[in-house]
Amino acid sequence: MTIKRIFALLLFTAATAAHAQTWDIEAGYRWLDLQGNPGMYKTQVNEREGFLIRSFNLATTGPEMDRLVIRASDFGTSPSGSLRLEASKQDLYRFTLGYRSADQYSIFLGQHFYNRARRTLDADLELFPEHSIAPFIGYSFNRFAGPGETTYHFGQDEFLLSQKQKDIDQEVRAGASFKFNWVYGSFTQGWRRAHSTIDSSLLPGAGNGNNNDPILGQPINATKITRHDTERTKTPFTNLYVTVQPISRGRVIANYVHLSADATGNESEAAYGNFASFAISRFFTGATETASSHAKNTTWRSGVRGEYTVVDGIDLLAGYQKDHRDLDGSALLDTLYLQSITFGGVDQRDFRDVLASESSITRVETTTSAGVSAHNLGPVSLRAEFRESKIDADVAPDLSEIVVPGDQGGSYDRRISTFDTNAQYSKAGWLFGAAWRRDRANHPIFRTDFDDRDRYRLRAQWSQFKWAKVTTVWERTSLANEDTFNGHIRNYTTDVALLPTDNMTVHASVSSFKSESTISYRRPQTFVVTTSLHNENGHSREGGVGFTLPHSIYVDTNVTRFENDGTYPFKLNRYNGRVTLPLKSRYGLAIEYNKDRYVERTSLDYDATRWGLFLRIQ
Amino acid sequence: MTNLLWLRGPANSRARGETRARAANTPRARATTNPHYYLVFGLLLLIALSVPLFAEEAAAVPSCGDCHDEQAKAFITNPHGHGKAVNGVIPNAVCEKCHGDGKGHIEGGGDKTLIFKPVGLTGANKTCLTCHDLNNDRISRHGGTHANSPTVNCLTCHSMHSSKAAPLLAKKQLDLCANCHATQVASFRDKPYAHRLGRGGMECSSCHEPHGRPQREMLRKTAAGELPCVGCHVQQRGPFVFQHGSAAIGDCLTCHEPHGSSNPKRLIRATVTQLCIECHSPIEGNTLGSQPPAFHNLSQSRYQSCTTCHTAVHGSNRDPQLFK
Repeated sequence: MTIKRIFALLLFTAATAAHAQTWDIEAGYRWLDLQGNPGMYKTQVNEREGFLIRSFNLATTGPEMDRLVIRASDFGTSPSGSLRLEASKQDLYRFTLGYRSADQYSIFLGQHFYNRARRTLDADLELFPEHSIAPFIGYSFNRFAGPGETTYHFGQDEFLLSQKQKDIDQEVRAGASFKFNWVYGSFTQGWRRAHSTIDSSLLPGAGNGNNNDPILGQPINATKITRHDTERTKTPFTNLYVTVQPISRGRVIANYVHLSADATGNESEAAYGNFASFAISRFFTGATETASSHAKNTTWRSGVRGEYTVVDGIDLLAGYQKDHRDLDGSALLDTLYLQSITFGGVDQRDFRDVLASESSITRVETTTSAGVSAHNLGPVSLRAEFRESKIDADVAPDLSEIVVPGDQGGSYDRRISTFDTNAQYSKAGWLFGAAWRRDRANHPIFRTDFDDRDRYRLRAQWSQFKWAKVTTVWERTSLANEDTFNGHIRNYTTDVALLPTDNMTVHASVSSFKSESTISYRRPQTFVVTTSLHNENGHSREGGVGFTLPHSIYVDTNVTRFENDGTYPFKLNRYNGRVTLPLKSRYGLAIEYNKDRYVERTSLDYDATRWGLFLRIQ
Repeated sequence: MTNLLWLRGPANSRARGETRARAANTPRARATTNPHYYLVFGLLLLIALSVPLFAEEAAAVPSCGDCHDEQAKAFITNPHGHGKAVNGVIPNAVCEKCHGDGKGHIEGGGDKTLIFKPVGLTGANKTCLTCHDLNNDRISRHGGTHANSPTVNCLTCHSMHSSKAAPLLAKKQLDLCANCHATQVASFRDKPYAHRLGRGGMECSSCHEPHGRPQREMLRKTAAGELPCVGCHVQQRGPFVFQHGSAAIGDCLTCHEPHGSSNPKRLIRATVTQLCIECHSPIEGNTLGSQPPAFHNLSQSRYQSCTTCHTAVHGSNRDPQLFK
C-alpha cells in the first residue's frame, strides 16, 4: 500500500473518529534487520520495514445509521491487510463492506517465481432486514496481478519467460431472504465475469533453454518468444434454499444451486530460433501459433434434509443430496512451423498443423445420510451419523491419448460408506471428547484414494475457574487401499494456560506432527516397481508469559520452536515480544519485537529481526 | 396527610367563631376565606407537592446502566442494542430481553440471585436460540458438530458484553478455535507455508462455517456453491478445456493442505514430483491418472520438478499435457 493511500486512510480515520462513540488506533513504524536469504523471508513472512496501521476500530452512530462499525488491521508494510465496515439502521438497511489485500511472493525459480498482489472487495446491502421479505444486492471484486516467471516447453526444450498477469473477477448478485410463518429461506441470482490476460516473453539470456545438449546434432535455442493469452468467463448462478417448519419439532430444508460457467480463450504466440518437434519429426526455425478455446462447466446441486426433535436436545436427521457437474471443452490450434526440415535434413518448407480437440468430464455424486444428535443428555452429548456417497465419473478421451496412447478416458465409480460419531462429557471443570470416523470404499478412482480410512480424535480438558486450563488433543488418521497405498497421520498437542495472579498469564504448548505415506510406483527410467515414501516428523514447543507491571504496563512474550525431521527437514524458531505503555489520557505506546529464524539449507536460511514502535490512542 | 389537614382548614375555622367571619368581608379576605379558593389552592398544592413525589417515583426505576455502566455504554453499538437507545441510554427492556425481568434484582439492591444470567447450554437455549434458531442448507444447530450442547453452545464462543472480536466473539478467533482444535492451530503456527490467520483478515471462519453441518469439515461455500478456495483463488476456478483430473473429479484438497505445509505450494507431499508420480504411474487397476504415466528419466535434474514443464497444472485451454 502506498504512503498516499495510508495517508488517505488516516485522514478518513481522523474524520470518522472525530464524532465516534468509541474508537482506537495503533499505528507506527517497523524496522527490519534481515540476515540470510531475503527471497525466502519474503516468501514465508514478508513483513517489511515501514509504516503500518496495526489496528483501527471504531463504533459509532449517525443520523441515517444507528450503527457504524469500522475495523481495519495490518495496513501498510504487512503482506496482508483487511478493512471491514458495517453500517445499519434498524428495520431499514444493513450494509457491509470488506476489503482485503494480500501480497504473494515466491522466490522459487522457473514457473514458481512471482511477485503478485491480490485485492478483494465485497459489498452487500440488505434492505428491510427484519421484514418478511428482505431484498439484497451484493458486489465482489477480485484482482490478482503482478509480474512473475514461467517455464515454457517448446521445441523439445524449456525456456524461461517473464510474465505479466492480470486477473479480474467481478460478481454482482441480487436476491431476497424471506420469512412467512413457518417457511423461510433465501434466493440469490448472481452473475460473475472474469477476465484474465497474460503476456509473456523470453527472459534475456534464457535462449539456450533448460537442455544444453543438441538433438540429433542440432542445437536447440530461442532468439525470441512472445505470447499473449486472454480468457473471458461468464458465470451466471442461482442459489435457493427453503426451510419449512410446520411444527416446532420438525423442519425440512431444501436447497438448489446451479451455475453455468462459459469461458472463451484466445492465445497467440511467436517463437524464433532453432527447435525440434518429435510430433511432426522435424526441425524448424520458428513458429507462429493461434489457439481459440471454449470451455463450459455446468454444475447443479440439489438436496433435501429433514430434522426432527424427538425431545428437547435429541434430534433425528436424514438427508439426500445430488451433485452433478459437466465439463466440456474444445480447442482449435493453428500452428505454422517456419522453414521446417525433416530429421533427415530434406524438404525445407513452412508446415501448417491445424489441430482440434475436445474433452469432457461428467461427475455425479449422490449422498444419503441418516443420524441422531443427542446434545443435551445432562453432561453428555452424542452424535452419530451414517452416510453413503456414490460417485460416478465419465472422462471422455482427449488429445493426450493422441500424444500418449492409452486409456485416459473411461468410466469410474466409487461408493463410500461413512460412519461418523462423537461423544462429549462435560462436568465440574472436566471435559472429555472422543470422535471416530470410519470410511469404507469399494475401490479408488485415483491411486491415492483410500479403500479404508479411520480417523480417531480424543480430547481432554481440565479447567479450574479462570486460573488454570489444561487441554490435550490427540488425533490419528489411517488410510489405505489395496493398490499398496498406506498413510498415517498423527497429531498430538497439549496446551497449558495458567493465570497465577490477576496480573499474569502463563501458557505453554507441546505438539507433534507425524505423517507418513507409502505407495508403489514404477520408476520411469528403469520400469522397476519401487516405493515412494513421504515422511514428516515435526515437534513444536511453545511458551509465553504475559504480565502487567505497575502503571498498567503490559508485557507479552512468546517463543515457538518447530523442527521437522521428515523428507523435507527444516527448523523454524519464532520469538515475539510486545510491551504496551499507557501515557497520558488516551495515549500509549506499543513496542514490538519479532524474530524469525528459518534453517533449511544454507542458501535458503534467513534470520529476520523486526522492531516496531506504535502509537496507541484508545 | 399534610395535604389532607390543609383541606380541613375551612372546617376547623368554624370553631373559631365570629372574628374570622367579620374579617371575611374584605375582598382579600373573601378571596382567602372562600372555600372554593381553599379547595383550588389545596388541589394546586397537592399537585405541586405530589409532582416531586411522582417524579421521584419515576426516577426510582433505575436504568440497568446505573450500575452496569460499562456494559450499557458498549451496548449502544452492540448488534443487539443498536437503534434501541433512547437519549443515549439503553432501555431496561433491551437488557430484560435476555436477562428476564430485572425488577427483583433492582429492588434487591443488585442481588445476583434475582436476575437470570445466560450461561452455558441453558443460557443459549433461553436467549440466543429464541431468535437465532435458523437452519439452512449449510447451517444446523440441531445436527452439526457444534450442535448446541453442554460442551459447545452459543456462549462457548460468543460474549455479548465483553467481546474481543467480531462477531461478538469471546476471544480472537484463532485463540477461540484453539480451545478444541489445537492441532490444526499448531499446524498454522508451525508450518512455514500457511495462510496468515489472525493477521490481516483471514480467520478460521473464512473457510469453515462454525455453525455448520458435519459434512466436508463444515466448509463454507461460495454463493455459487463452490469450495471456499476459489473464492480467493479465482484464477484456478476455470473452466478449462483440459481440466486436471484431480481437480475435476476430486477438488483442491486432493493435492493441497490448506492448514500449513512444508511445501511452498502447500501440497500434501514435500515435493511436487512425489505428489504427481503417486497417481501417474502405471502399476495396476483401472485408476484415473495412471495414464498418461510419467515416462521421464527422474534421475536427471531436468525432470525432477514436474511443474517446470507442466506449468498449467490446474488446467489448460491450449495443451492437453498442461504445458501452457
